[in-house]
Amino acid sequence: MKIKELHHLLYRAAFGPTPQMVKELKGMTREQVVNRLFDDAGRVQDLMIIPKPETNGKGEVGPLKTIGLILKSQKEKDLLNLAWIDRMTVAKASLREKMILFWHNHFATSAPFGWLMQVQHNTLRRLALGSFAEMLHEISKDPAMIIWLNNQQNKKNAPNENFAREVMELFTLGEGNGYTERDIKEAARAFTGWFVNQKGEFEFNEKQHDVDNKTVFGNTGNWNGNHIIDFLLTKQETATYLCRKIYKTFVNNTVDEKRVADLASRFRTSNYNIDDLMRHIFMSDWFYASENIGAVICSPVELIVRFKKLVQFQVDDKQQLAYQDLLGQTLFSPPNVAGWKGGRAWIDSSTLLFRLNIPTTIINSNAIKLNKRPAFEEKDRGEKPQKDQQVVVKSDWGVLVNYFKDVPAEQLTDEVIQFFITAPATRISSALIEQHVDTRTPQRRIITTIAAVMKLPEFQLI
Amino acid sequence: MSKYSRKDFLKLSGLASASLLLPNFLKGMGAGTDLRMSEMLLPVTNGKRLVVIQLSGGNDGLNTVVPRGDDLYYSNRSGLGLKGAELINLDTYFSLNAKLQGLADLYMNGEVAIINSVGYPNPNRSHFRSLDIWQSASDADKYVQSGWIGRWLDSACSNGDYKPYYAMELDDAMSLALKGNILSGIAVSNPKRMNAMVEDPLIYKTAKAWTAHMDDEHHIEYLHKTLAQTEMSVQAIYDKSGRKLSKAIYPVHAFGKHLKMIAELIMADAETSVFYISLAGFDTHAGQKNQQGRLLNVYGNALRAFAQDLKSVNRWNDTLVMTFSEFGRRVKQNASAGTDHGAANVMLLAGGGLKRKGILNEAPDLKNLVDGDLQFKVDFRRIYASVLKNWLGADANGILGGTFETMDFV
Repeated sequence: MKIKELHHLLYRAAFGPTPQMVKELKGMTREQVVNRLFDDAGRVQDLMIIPKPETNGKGEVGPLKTIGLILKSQKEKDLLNLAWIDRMTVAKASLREKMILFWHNHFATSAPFGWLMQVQHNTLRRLALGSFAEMLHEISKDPAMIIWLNNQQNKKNAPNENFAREVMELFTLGEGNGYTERDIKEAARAFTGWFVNQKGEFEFNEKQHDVDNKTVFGNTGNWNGNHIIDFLLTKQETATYLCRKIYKTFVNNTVDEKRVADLASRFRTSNYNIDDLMRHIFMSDWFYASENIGAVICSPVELIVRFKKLVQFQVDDKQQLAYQDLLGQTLFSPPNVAGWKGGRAWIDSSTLLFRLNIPTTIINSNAIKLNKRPAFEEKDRGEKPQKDQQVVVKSDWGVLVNYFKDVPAEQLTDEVIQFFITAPATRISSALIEQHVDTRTPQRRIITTIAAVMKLPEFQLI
Repeated sequence: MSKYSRKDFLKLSGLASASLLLPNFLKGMGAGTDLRMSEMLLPVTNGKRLVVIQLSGGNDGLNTVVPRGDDLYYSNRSGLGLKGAELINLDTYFSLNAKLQGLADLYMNGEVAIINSVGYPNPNRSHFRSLDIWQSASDADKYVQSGWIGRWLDSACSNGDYKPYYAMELDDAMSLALKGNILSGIAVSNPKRMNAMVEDPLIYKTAKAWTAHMDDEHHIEYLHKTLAQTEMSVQAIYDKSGRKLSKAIYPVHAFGKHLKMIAELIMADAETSVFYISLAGFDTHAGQKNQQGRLLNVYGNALRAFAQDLKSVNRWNDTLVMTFSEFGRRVKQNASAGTDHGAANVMLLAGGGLKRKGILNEAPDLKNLVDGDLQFKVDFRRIYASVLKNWLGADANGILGGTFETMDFV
């Protein structure tokens, strides 16, 4: 496949081209590369960083709603977050990691229990390229989701509609698309009694389950939650809604409805086989059409992982969490169940400037210490205005310097642009870049050229 | 170190001469030069400014504006109920927490309005979610990915006159409130630091190289345009900050520093119409009295200093300060001398241009509670609608996605 197409594929199916990957995959056919990426993604290894809380003799962890657990949970979610970033950085299964990131945004959950978030994460990890049908069934019984969307309060005599509403509005059909308020109300009754027990596991509480007939999408019967999920999976709207979201994330922020319709019918026919859908996208000629190249704004987490993979970018944990916060994407803390909006919503004056400034902090080996905004539960620390403090930024440019070391100086700028930027170079001036390059040694020339290209707005496009 | 005096600034910016070109009917409007200038400076809001203060964590409204005349208040709060010297009486029924001396001073001047029992149907008791509802101005069962001030920008700037700093948050990161569907505000915590970022030579030149392009469709154009607007905004804010125009004394606290920054920006005639600022730490599950008292003290004193600064330049009359929290707290105190998450809450408005002052509606009903919490009497979006329509002159219904009856405090 052409080198530009390879880079495009690596941006979408992985965290962008790295010297190692390009060396390895250059010269292969499209099919060979796609197969390789899927083979690499085949390996599943759970993320295990949070120990299960201590239990009593009956295996119970006690009441889930205590302040102590919640406070501890923020720390645990931070640990899980950082462990996942590390995994994304080092794992060969880049495609799986990208898919998990997609599903984390789709089933956007931020339950205040670290280990339950880990359970959910590992479910998404296991099924990331599996069957969406299976995933939807498992997520509707997922303890973190049940707590997050109040199904724990969904009882026979006092139904809580939150999960029933969001499973239609956000997880399958899309807002106002193929369901009525009545469908929500009736479906909520079908999910009554789907609880989390004291062990932190799913439990069907028969006493709280409404066994009367419910009418959902015109079907009347004594439905339970499984029936509702199956009804949702028979609807074409579900496949269309999912494929539109996949298209926006992996193909182009601007949707081509015709392509989405084709993808949706394939997805539906394959009984929601995610692996098949993604392979089909990455094998299609239209995926490599010029309008789809460089047409996605890189998410904050992807941007951080790119820097980590390319130059071993490293800051301390607090600073890294602050980066996510200030860039607008903290893992395990989506803004709400609708997830991160993505696309242009990633970019505002503050986040753009912050993004463009990262290469400078890497070159300078230090950055201004940032503070994550305080959690709600945190006490006021009598916040006296503080002077700026510096923190260390570690990096290692060795691999990149080695990769570009044989490129003649006069070609370096263009080669670097071609390596990192897939978007049209209409607004890029090589001359302007070269004015800001340190040419004192060949090594400095390479490093500062790359850093300059990383400061271009186009570097944010993948 | 002040770079320019106010007089120098007027000369530099050319506004002094521009005001000479104003049509006579504007000159005759009575409020003098300052009104004319502010109208020119704030074209999208007709000279009015809004400052939104978010008290994060869930401020206990009942210990902020205290219904001293209600026995139920004391029976529910045997240790936490404020009395005697802990109170500043407003009338025969209501008092302010005595830590709010700063706010009380403004109240006595007729510069404060209080609205009790503000909330929304089906209240959510999660900080996260409830703040999301307040910032997006959505129903409790809807998830909206834009904020009400951002949508105000979308609407007010639809004629093409848009600068990110028309809406500014004093923070490193921007809240959902300031993110519209198309346009967004800007978050600035430290103008000097941000200015250093845009002065990076390559970033600066890339920003300056941008020229308007008809085709805004491609992300490349969007990114370059955003960068150009950012550079221009940061320069403008940096230019108008740090002039040490403030004469008032603010509390030594990040909140005081940021409110002072807002005052100085207004005193330097910054073109910002909406400012957004937060004070955190109100989640007082335990040991509430000290913690809340300390924060309210910072809040009240900062606000009084702010009013003093703005009065000195005749800006207090066209500035409205609106204070909210994501929820109030449970009426009955808990076992740790604190209170747990509640529902409806008090909202505070301050400014020299209030049409109605004092306590605007009935006292909170401590008898008819739902799950131990106050029921809302006023939907918070009615207050947003009033501010948008009557103060900022904006299309409230369009921005809020529904019709909410306005109130007449402005």
